[in-house]
Amino acid sequence: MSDNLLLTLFLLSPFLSAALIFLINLLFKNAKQSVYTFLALSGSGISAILALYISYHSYFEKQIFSSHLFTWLNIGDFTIEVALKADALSSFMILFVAPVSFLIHIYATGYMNRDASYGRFFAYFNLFIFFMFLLVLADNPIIMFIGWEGVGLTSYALIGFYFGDIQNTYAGNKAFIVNRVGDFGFLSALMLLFLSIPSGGFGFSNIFLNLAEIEPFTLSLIAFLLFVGAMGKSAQIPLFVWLPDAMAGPTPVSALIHAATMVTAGVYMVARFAPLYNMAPEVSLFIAYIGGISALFAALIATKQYDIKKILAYSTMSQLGFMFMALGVGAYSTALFHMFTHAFFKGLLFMAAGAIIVAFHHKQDIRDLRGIKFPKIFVMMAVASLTITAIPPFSAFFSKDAIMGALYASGHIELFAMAFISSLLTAFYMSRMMFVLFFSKSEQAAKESPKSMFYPMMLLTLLSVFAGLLNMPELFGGNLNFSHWLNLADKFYTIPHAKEWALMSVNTFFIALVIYNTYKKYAYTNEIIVEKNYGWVTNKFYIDEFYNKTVVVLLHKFSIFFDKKISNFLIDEKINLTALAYLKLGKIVSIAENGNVRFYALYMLIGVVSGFVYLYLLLGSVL
Amino acid sequence: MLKSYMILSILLFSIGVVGLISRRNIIVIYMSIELLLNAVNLSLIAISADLADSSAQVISLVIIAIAASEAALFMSLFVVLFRNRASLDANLFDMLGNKNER
Amino acid sequence: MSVLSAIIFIPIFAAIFLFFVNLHITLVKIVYMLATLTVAYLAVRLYIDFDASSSMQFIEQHAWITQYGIKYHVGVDGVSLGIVMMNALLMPLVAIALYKQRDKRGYWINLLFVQGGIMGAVLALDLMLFYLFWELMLLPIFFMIGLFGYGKSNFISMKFNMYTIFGSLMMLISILYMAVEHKEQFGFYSFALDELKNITLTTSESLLVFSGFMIAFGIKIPIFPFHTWLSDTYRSAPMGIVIVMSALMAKLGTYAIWRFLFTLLNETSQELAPYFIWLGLFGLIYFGISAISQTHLKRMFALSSASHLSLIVVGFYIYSNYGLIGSSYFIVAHALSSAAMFLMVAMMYERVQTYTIESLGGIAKVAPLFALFFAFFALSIVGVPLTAGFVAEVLIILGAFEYNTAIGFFAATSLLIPMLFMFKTISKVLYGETNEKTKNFQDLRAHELLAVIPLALLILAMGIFPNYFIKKIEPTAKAFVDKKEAVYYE
Repeated sequence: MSDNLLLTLFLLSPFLSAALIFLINLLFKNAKQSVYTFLALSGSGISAILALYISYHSYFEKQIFSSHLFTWLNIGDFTIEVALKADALSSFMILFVAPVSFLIHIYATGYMNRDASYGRFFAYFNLFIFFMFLLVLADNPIIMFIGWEGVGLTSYALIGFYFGDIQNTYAGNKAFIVNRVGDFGFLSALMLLFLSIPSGGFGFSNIFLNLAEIEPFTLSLIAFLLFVGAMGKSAQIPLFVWLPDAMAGPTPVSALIHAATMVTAGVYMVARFAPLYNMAPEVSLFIAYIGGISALFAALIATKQYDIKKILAYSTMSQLGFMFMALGVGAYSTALFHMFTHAFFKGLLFMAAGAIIVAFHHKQDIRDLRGIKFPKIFVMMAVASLTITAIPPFSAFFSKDAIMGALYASGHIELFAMAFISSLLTAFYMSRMMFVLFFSKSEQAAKESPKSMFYPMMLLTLLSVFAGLLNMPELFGGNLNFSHWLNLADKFYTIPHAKEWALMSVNTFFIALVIYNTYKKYAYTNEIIVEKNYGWVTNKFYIDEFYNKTVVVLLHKFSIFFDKKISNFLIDEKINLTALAYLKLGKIVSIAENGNVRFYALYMLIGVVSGFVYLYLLLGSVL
Repeated sequence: MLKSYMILSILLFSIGVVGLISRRNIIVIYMSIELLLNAVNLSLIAISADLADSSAQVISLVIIAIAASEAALFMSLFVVLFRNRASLDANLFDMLGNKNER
Repeated sequence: MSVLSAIIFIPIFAAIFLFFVNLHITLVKIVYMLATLTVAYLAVRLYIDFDASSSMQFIEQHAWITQYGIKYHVGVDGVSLGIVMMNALLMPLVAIALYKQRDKRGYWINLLFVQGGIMGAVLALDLMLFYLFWELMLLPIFFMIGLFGYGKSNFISMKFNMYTIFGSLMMLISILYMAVEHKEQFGFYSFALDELKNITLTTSESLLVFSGFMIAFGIKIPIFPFHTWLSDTYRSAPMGIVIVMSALMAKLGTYAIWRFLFTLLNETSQELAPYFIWLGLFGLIYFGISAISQTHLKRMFALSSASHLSLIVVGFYIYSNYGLIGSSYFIVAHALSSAAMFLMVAMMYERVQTYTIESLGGIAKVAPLFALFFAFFALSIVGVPLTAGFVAEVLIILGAFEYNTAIGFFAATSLLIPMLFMFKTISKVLYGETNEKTKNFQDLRAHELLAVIPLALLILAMGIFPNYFIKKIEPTAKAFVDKKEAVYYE
């Protein structure tokens, strides 16, 4: 099979399966669930296999797959080709996006079993991965933007999936609107970028060739605006408000979109534009700070959350903050590697949470779920939690530790401090959740999860444990395979081995300490019930209320002001008054027109007489 | 000579106009209109004699004929108007005015 | 008779025929369908025959009132082709969707008149002819609102017509002034577009002539501050007319700016362009924000189209390749989306007898097809990728950034503005729990599907394969931009 066709098939198989499911869902009201299952799994399954094939060839043979579909637009210089290109970075992305999507698809067949909207769900789900692939594989930023908006759109549809409750759809609206604020920045950046590079196409390679010709201010502006897009998609401060609300969607959606794939698009985008960011160091530093603040902020909020999915949502935001910190200091492949491991363990955490939610009749509050007895899920969740808290030898230990090392070596000690505190907080809120859920005197039991949910989680557990081996640092005898494969414009930081050892051990020691203290505080106690649940942290620092008061209410007031005061009162009223003034004038004049013929004769007389007088005056001298 | 004819004509015309405006009885108004016509006739004839051109006299003859037919028309109008309002007071017939709007 | 004349006069003759021959209402509808379908067929033929490598084509010219140099002169280029196509395609679809709702002869006769008037105004290349058709499309609307409107329809139709006729008269004065100037400078009267552009005017003269035209077009579009007829008229007008107004007539105003003002008064327009760009951007934001607090669906969509039309004005005034193509594309894209959206609203009104957003909800549960199309068209107005509006917006924004970075940022807010009201509306109308009004909501019937599916497919096709459509506009834009640069370098 030719490369071209392969890549096209990879992109289109989820699209076709989405379209078919969609049509069947519309045309046949009573289609069997198994039809949908077959279509959904084959769509994502084909692409998962192809993804493995493509990235295998990319990794071992440095092969670049590309495919040109058609010309989207061609006006003067503005030529946009719908072209796909799987270079190392894109292959890396699909390497985890496609298989994780496939696993979550399998999981979702169990989770959504006998749901009334089973078909609709998988139509959206497959459409989502189509857009995600488009985003990742696009060879030029405009097509990438289409994928970028597309994932936002499907995410909107999936968050508001249970539209019977209007609040869910509001959460979807919020997600899409906030995302679009980011897209506003992204598109503006693309336009500026296009206008500042000389002609020669708008493909990524051409852009990077001509970066030097852009003047520094414009370059920084572009870099900043691109990051605004990333902020929206990857839920960083100040555009993060949609992510916690997005948990209104079904849990597979949270696992796939709001943990493993879509939210990482911002990270991917920044990494994609790495050459540009290397030339705008002040923006990069800004990114690092935003990432650091987001990581700290989200971790802090997560310590006081009670909804199991919200804890995980804030944890996602926090982990994304870590990635942005790494991006900001120029350790692109390190950030990407953390994204890689994150996709597995966060997907796993969400899936486990989903399994718990299903087993316990859609209870999500950890105070209601105390002391659940669910051995298999417990093991997997424990592994995932230990992974996220970066306990060796689980995968995130390597990825997170690399980030810490890079931060430390970059010389920005304040960034390192933020990352360190965030990682301790991570350890705290994850172990708090675990101890409250599984270590309690009271015990609740539930039936086992279905196999379709269990096996994908099993696989992800293994991946969470062992994925770290793929980018082993030198210290442990690895040679950073992934970083070499990706071959990004990384700044490599090298620190002495002794320091690295010290860093790791101190880090791990403190994490272990935090876990121990948390165990003492929450395990087999009623602490979770009695601890105070008010104040700034519990209320998420009143950010939602703040946005509500400033943006939403203000816009509404403006709207009323414009509509009622300016349009109606200032303009329309005045125009109507003019019309009415003419009416009044007519009334006044029409007094003379009283219908009595004799008056008309009088007017005639007056007219004639004044005419004569005028003539007389005019001709007086002649006569 | 023309001057005195013209003065007479103007006088007649003025009387007619004043009658037209000031009297309320429609018959009198009609008579005033006839006065106006005849004043014009008079001036036409006088000018025609003065210019030794007979075309104006033809016009005045036409006017007299029309006035006669007008008289017939007016008489029938009076009857119709009187039937409507049982009066020939011109002030009663103001349906053209703005009072009747809407 | 050439194809353009046929496109113009078939609807008009059909309307006159129906007016004088008292047919049964079913026959009236059949004649309407025949006439509009013929026009649609001719328009598709025109589109296929249209040569994508040159600008003005299918020119037809006859002497008409020779002593004043008034000619019957029509032709089509890339920009007008879009409006012609939309006009030809939308009219039969409107009838297919709404034929069960309206049983008055006058409704269909007036719609035919409007179609002919719009076709004439789009294709005319002689100013007098243009003026004639411009007025011809107004009068049917006056009758439609007065006869079939809701609410204070007499007052509103009077207001609308006073407004627009005021504008038209200003334009007439400008036209006559130019014709007289032509007589003085070249010795004979002319109303032809390509002859009138040769006259020289002093600065103040050209300003006055410009404002005469601009008032007419500004009222029709409408741009701020001539918009106050808009929401009342849309609210009161019957749906057929609302569709015509939002999808075609308003676009005609923007088109006329480009066709007439930019040709006749090129330098003045370029000098004044910054003011109108800012006015357009202001309108974009102003109308968008005004729409947030609307509770009446038709009013809300009225303001939403006004917001987008302001963006189209911006696109034209940017005076560049991207802006022009973007705006012409947006004309077509928005015509499709807004017509479809108003059709959906009309179908909804037929079922629930209300336009109030708050009193709806839960439609998606009982009528999934309706919800699907409603949401799709709403999203296409928002301009999500893969719909036609997205392509157009990207091009206009690109043009705006090319013009000036600040203006670019303001133009890019068009990504955000429609979202402010559209998503809440979708939620409130389609989602949530059903209530008394919506619990028996009937899903789309076959004839309604027949009307909306082509629109949806066209929107998608124009969003996914824009290059095929834009090829037809490109030579026109290129000729225009070359001309502009010629002026610039003089």
